[in-house]
Amino acid sequence: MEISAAGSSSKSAAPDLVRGAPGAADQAALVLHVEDDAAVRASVQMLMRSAGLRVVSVASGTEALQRVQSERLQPDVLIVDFHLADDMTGTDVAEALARKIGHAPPTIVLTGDKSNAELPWLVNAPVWMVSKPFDPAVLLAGVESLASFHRRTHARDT
Amino acid sequence: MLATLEAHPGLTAAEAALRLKNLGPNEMPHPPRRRLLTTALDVVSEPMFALLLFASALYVVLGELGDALVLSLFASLSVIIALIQQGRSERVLESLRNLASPRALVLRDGEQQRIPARELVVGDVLLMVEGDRIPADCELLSAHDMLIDESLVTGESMPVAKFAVGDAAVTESGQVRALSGTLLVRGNGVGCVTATGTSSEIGRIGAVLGSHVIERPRLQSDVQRLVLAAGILGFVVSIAAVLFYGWLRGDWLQALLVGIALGMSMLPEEFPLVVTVFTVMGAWRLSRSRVLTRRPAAIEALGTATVLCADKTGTLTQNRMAVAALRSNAASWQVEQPEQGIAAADSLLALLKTANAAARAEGGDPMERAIATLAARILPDASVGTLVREYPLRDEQRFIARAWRLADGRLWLAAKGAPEAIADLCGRGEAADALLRDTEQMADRALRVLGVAEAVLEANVSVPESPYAIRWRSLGLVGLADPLRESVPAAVRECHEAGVRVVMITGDNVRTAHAIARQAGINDSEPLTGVELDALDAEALRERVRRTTVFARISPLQKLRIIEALKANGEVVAMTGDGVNDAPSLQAAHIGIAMGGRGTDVAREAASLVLLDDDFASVVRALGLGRRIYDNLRKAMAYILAIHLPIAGLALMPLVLDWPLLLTPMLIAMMELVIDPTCSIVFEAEQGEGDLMRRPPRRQGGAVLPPALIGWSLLQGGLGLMVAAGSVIWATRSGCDANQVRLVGWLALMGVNLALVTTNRRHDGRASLQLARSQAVVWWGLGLTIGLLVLTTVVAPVRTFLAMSAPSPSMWIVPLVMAALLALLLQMLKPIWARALRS
Repeated sequence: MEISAAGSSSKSAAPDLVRGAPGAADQAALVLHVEDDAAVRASVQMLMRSAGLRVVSVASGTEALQRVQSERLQPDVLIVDFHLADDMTGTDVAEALARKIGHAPPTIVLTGDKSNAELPWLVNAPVWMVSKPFDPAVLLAGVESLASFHRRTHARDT
Repeated sequence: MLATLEAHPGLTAAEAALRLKNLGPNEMPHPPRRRLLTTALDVVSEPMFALLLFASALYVVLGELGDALVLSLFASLSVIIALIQQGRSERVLESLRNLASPRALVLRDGEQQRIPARELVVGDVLLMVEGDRIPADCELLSAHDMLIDESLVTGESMPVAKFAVGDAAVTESGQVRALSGTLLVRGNGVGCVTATGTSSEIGRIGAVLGSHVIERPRLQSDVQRLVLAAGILGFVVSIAAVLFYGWLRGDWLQALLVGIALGMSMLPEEFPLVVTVFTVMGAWRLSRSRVLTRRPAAIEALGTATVLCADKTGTLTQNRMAVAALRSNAASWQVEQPEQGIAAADSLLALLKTANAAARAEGGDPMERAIATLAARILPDASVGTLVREYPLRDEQRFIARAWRLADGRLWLAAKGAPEAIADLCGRGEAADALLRDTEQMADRALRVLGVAEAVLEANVSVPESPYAIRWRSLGLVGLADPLRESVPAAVRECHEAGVRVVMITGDNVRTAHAIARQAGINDSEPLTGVELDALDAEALRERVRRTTVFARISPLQKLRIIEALKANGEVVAMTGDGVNDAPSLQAAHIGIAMGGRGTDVAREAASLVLLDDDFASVVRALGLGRRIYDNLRKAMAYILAIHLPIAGLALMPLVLDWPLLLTPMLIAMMELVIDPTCSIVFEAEQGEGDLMRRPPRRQGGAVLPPALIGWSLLQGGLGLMVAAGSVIWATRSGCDANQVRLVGWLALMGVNLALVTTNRRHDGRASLQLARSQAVVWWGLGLTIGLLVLTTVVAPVRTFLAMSAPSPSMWIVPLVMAALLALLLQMLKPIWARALRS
């Protein structure tokens, strides 16, 4: 894993996005799901919606970054597949998103083989690994726990 | 790192002290304290204070200036007592904050010292390791693989790599600085402090470290209901009494006094006082067991915990490597045996000496340090000669070898490493096969195993280029392990006796989990691994966690599933954890316990308790303290409820029986003066009952005052009222005048109070032992009560002032004897109720 040493003085980068849209806390938790397999994407989307969560599904890291930028998304949980079709790994996506949003949301990394995946280093955010194939109920329990954790810790920050 | 340290010897203690004096301590300005004025205003708005003032105003109207003055004095006294209590709470909270404040490892007078971070000064040489919160701004003199989370100070959302000054990788000046308040998430380093306190970066932006904020105690809802009910009842009865008395007798001023006396007697002002004092003092008591309370509700929850989930590494074990076994072809030693056993066997001595000679002195790994530690204790003379060559660890050469020139000129080579590699080095054969068989056995006991070999070459032979070029002789194996904390087996036993299941959850493999569980006394008959756990659905897992107490190879998400499954089974779960990834589970558990030593801030913030020493035994001590604190809280509540019955009864009696006022507002105010410290200080300091840790946990969600306890209180209070009322009626019948009756009533009330205090101090019926084991505060409380009693009844001017006069001698004895009989009766009744009180 390559960790950028640059930007240790980027004080101005963070704050404007951190505060989030007003009233965001009243809405259901937002899950950002990055996955290149359309079938998995659809099933996770259905799973999250069935639990009353909002979900934004995208096929690549680049798309995730664009959507976060253009729609000012404040995901409560990031679910990211480790092996993506484009040249970013799930870890790259998680780290790039953290930079863009200004803080790292709790993250679940989905992976087929445990040994290969290098998990991201995120500041103050739990990173959990779930191996594929996964039990939908387990994934959902994990997402809900992380979302409530994020809501509670983040509410205190802002 | 050693070279760096030699170049920077650090400050001298004298210089550091001078700088501390000149530049000030390394701390942020304190958050504003609760102002005295605010506290005073709180007290003034208390109904009790208003009643006292109102009563003294009435006395002014009645022309009784003396009474008015004394009542105002009582009113001021209640403010002063409240202020003192508040100050005491603040001081306790302050000391907890100081306890939580970080410490720093510095070089002073050429030695490593651990000092409070607030004593850091500019110029100090600071040693930082992974997990440290950087205590002051510093410039890095050396940095090894350093990665720092600066989010708190710069808002940077990713950890930043850091380098030593002069490192080629440095591209900007910020990379050689570590900032105060940031977190070292990886690596270690040495820095020279450049700014402290408010001149540091974080001090300038005024950010405050969010951790270790201690919540103020809140009143539980059932206490709140009780207070409300008693308050409303008191109010209604008082108003009714005023109207009734005034209408009946036409003396409205006297009627108001009766109403005030009644109101004062029924106000449950002690309940909130007791809850606050018990919580704050409870947090203080826990802190003396090295446990910091972040959420006061956790103190209450501790007594209900039924399952304790503990990490293995660092909580059950010491989180360091130590030599646990030595085995040569002729002898063996294990950590359970005395260390003289090593010195007695030459082959073991040779094994240890060689292993030590093969260990690197600088930059050694934890296993090498463990070997060096044991060698320093056992070997009389560690000097072996001059190091002439080192063969480092490589992928294809999984051992370290070092060549030493001995005093007699011969060359001695020592090697240690993976047993397979050592076996290969010595040439496979009978001895090598035995070595590998032994390795297998030691690994089964969850030991990390190193093989050790030596070779001796004659003086005229030059140092070989490759270690494979010479002939080696295997000496045996060294087994290492992260040792169990000594206190753990006893603490686990204590948990089991207390009806609390101990569950070990570890990321380590099953073999290690087994070994530690067995040593700790945790049932490991049905261990579950993460892979097996993934195959279970929620229902099956719920079933499984009823039996399984050892979980191995568990990921953070799996940990959460275990916690949720336990909760679904109705268990009250306490759980220890340290990392960011554990934080959601810490929040999910009923009692999340973060590691103060190793833990991250996120974990600490998610937790309700913080362990300052990371020791499992502290958790168990906290469990016992939690039970004791709650037990004492109940006793105090029961006492308060009970004592109010005779007071209110005596205040009401004259009304019903058409007598003159019996208990004046002044006497009631004085009674409160006794009750307040008794319930808040005497009961708080009460020792735990003998079987406290042999009972099953308290049921979760039970009321502070369960029906059985309320019943017991009302019975005690009712009997107390009978004693007091009986004395008063008897005195009236015997022809005493109103002032004499008042003295008898007062005497009876104080006597009943003592009886109720002794009865409620313990629920486990042993009265004789009670006084013997009392602490100083109990004697103070007793002394205060008796002193006040003597002052008010024996000292004539005081007695007269309180509108009391001395009756005949028998009138003195009757109420006191009756109170003593009450104490005896209650003592006998106690065992009958005791069983119901435990549930």
